[in-house]
Amino acid sequence: MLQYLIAGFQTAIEPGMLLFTVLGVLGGIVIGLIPGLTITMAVILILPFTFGMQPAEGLTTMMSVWVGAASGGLVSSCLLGIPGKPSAVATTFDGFPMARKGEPGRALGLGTWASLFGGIIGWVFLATLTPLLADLGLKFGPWEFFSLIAFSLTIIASLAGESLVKGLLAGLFGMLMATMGTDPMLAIPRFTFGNLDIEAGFDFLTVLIGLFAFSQLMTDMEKRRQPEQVERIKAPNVHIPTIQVLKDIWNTKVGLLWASLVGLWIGIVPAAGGAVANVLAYDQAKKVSRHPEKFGTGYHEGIIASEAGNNSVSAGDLVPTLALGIPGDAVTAVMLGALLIHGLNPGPLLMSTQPKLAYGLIAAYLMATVFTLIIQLGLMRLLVRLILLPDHILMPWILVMSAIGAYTLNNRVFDIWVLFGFGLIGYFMVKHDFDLPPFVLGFLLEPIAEINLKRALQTSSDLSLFITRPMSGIFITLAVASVVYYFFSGMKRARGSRPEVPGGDSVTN
Amino acid sequence: MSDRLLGLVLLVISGVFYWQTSFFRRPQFAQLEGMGPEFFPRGILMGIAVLSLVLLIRGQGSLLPSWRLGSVRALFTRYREVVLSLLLFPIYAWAIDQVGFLWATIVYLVVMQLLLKPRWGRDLVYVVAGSALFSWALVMVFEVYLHVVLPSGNLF
Repeated sequence: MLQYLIAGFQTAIEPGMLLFTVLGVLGGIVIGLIPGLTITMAVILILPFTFGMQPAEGLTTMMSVWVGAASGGLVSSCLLGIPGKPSAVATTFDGFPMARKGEPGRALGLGTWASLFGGIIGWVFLATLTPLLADLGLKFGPWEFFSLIAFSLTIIASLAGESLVKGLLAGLFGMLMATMGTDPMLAIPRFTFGNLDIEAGFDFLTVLIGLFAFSQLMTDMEKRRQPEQVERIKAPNVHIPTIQVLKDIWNTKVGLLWASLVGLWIGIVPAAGGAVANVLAYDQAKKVSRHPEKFGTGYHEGIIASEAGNNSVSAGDLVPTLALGIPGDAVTAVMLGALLIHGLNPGPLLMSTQPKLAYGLIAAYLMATVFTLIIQLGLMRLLVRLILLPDHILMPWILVMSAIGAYTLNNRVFDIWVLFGFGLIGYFMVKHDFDLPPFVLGFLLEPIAEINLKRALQTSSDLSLFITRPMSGIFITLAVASVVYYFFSGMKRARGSRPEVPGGDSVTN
Repeated sequence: MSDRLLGLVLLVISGVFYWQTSFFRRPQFAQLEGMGPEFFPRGILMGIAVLSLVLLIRGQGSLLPSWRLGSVRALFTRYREVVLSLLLFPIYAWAIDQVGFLWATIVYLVVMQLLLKPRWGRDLVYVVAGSALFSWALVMVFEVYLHVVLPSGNLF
C-alpha cells in the first residue's frame, strides 16, 4: 500500500497536476465563499472543463474544487452571518459574533487552520481505510451489493430529511427515473414513450445538474423577493493573527480531534454529508468542552469544531466512493459520474486495477487541503471582496454554465431539455420537503441494484441467502435498524416536544 | 400542494407507469426467463404505491386545494422571477438549436439580467458587453481548448 501511496504522491506533485490542484482550489474557494452557491454546484460547474483533461488531471481538479469550496464557505459565515452553504451553518454560530466583536481576522484564521487540521485527520483515515474496505469489497457477491444499496438508501432516507416516507419515496422515484431507457441486462427499451432520445437513458450528470444547480437557482430567485436585513462586517484590510490562532487551536486539540472524527464518521456512513457533519461536530465539541456556555458567543472552539468537521467529512465521503463505488453524498456522486465519463469503473476493483489513479487522488486530497490553507491565508484580503458579487449577474451565468455542462456530456441539445425537466422535478421536490440526496442515490444505484438482484436470483432462487450470508445479513440488519432508529427517535422527539399552540402556524410549504 | 394530494398524484403516476410495463417487448430468448425487463421497475412501483398510500392516508392538509384570485396574484408576485425564468429557459434551449449557442446565450444573458434587475440605466451597455464577452469566452474555451463543438444553429 505504501509504495502505491508514494507513487500517488509522485503523480500529485507533477507540475501539471500541481497547477490543476491550485486552480481547482482557487476556483473552489471563490465559488464556496459566494452565498447560495453550494459545494455540489461548484463541482458540477467545473465538471465540463475537465472533459478535455486526462482522468487523473480532471479528477484532481474536481477534488481540489471540492476541498476548496468546503473551506470557502466560512468567509460569508463569519462576515455576513449567512452560511455560504449548508456545511458552514455551525461556523456562523461563533464566527459571526467573533467578527462583530472586532476580530474578523481571528475568526477567518481559526476557520482556515481548523479546515487544514480537519482535512489532514480525515486524510489519514482516507489513506488507511480505503484500501482495507476495497479488499473487503472484492469479496462481495451480488447479495452483498444489493443489501449494501438497500442499506445506503434506507439510511440516507432516514437521516437526510424530516420524513422517512418522503425520503424513501424520493429514493424510489430516483430509481424509477433511472429505469427509463434500456434494460441493463436484456437491452429492451423501457418507459421511452416512443422517444428515441430517451432510449439511451438520462445521463446521470445531467440529472444532477438539473436537480442541484437549476433547482437551487430557482429557490434562490424566490428568496430574492423576501427582504432580509443583512449586517455586513466591513473587513477590507482583514489581518489574521496567526500566532494567536495557532495557540487557540493547540488549546482545543481534543475538541478538534473529536469534531474531525465525528465529521469523518458522518462522511463514511451514506447520509447528509457536510450539512449534518458541521452541526453534529459543533454539538459534540460543545459536549467535550470545558466552557460549553461560551458556545454561540464568538468562542474559538465553536469555529474550530464546525470547520474541522465539515472538512474531514469530505475524506469520509471518499472512503466508500473509492473503495466500493457507493457515493456518500451528492458531491461524491458527481465524482463517481466523472470517473465513468473518463472510462473508469468505480468499485472495489478500482484500487487494484488503477492504483496509480486511486492513490493519486488520495494524495491530491492532501495537497488540495494544504493549498487551501496557503491560498486562503495569502489571498484573504482579496477573497473577502468577492462575497459582494451581485446575484442578478451570477444567476444567469450559472444557468448558462449548467446548460453548457449538460450539452457537452453527449453533444446533444436534448440533454439541456433533460436538465430543465429534472430542474423542475428538483424544485418541486424542494418546495414539498422532499430531500434530493435520496433521489440522486436512488438514480445512481438503480442499475447496480437491478443487475445484482437479478444475478443473485439467477444464481439461486433462495431468498434467505440475503440474510444468511454474513456481510449481506449485516447490511440488511443495518437497513432495518436505521428504519427502527428513525421511528424510535421520532417517538422520543414527539414525547419531548411541547404541545403546539392552538391556531399556530404550521411549518409546511 | 398538500401531502395528501401529493400522495394521490404519486399513486396515479405509479399506476400509469405500472400499466406501461405491460408494453415492454421481450425478445424470444428471454421468454422463459422469470425476470424480464418489467421485473425491477414493477418492484419499485409497488414500493412507490405503498408509500404514496401512506402519504395519502396519514399526510397533512386538504385533498382539494382552495384557489382564490387574491392568493393566485400573491403567488405570482412571489414567484414572478421564478416563473419568468422557467419560461425563458426552454426558449433558450430552443434558440440554441435555431441560432446557435453564441447568439442565443448573449440574448439570454441580457434578458435574464434585465429580468432580475430591471433598472440598469447607463450600465446596460456593460450588461450587453459583459454578456457578449462571457459567451464568447465560453465558446473559445470549449471549442478551442476542450475541442467541444457547440451548436451553430439550424439557421446559420
